Amino acid sequence: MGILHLVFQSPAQTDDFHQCLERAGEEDAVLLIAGAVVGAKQTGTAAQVLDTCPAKIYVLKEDLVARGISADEVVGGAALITFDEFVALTVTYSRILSW
Amino acid sequence: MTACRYLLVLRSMPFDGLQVQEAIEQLLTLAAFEQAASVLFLEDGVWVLKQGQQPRPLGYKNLHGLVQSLDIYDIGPLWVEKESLLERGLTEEDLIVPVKTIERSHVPRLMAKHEHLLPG
Repeated sequence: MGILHLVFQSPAQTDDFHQCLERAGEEDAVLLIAGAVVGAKQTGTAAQVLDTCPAKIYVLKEDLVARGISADEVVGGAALITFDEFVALTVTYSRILSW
Repeated sequence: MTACRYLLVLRSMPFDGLQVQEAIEQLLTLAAFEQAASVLFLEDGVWVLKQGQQPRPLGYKNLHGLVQSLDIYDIGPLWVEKESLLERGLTEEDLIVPVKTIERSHVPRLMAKHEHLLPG
């Protein structure tokens, strides 16, 4: 099993978003959480790196909803997950790296 | 690439808080418990290895001693991402210790070889 990468900050706030997505491998998963969820908005420029990243992309639904972004505004290929599913992911991927 | 238990992924800029110093001290603690550990320097983390640092006037300790002590504690190899050096106008000759360079495209494979990843 690969690595679960956690990204917390919006792509405009720090470079964590790009730094992580440029280095996550195909066995890995990236979960966008807190401010980082805005990077998954389909029409935003940051979303481009999501298309080229080979890792599975997850976005925390609660954080999207809090920021007024609906599911259909998120890039295709990204899966929306709940807090409970987030917990399940941390079990599936025993190795976690926070960015 | 040798298999290793812990990998510190060091991305923080030195002399901007104590994050780098604390991350390296974390490695020394692991070494004290005979845990195999290595470091991957990424992005601004590569500045930690730059020669000629004089951080005293800023109120910070020089990191060279700490970095050089890693070898004594069998911590390593020290991996440095090639692209991170290039983007900052640095070469291996600018660094205080011998390192192994790795291309960005190989970083996922390096991470995958470690049991635990530490952010720094």
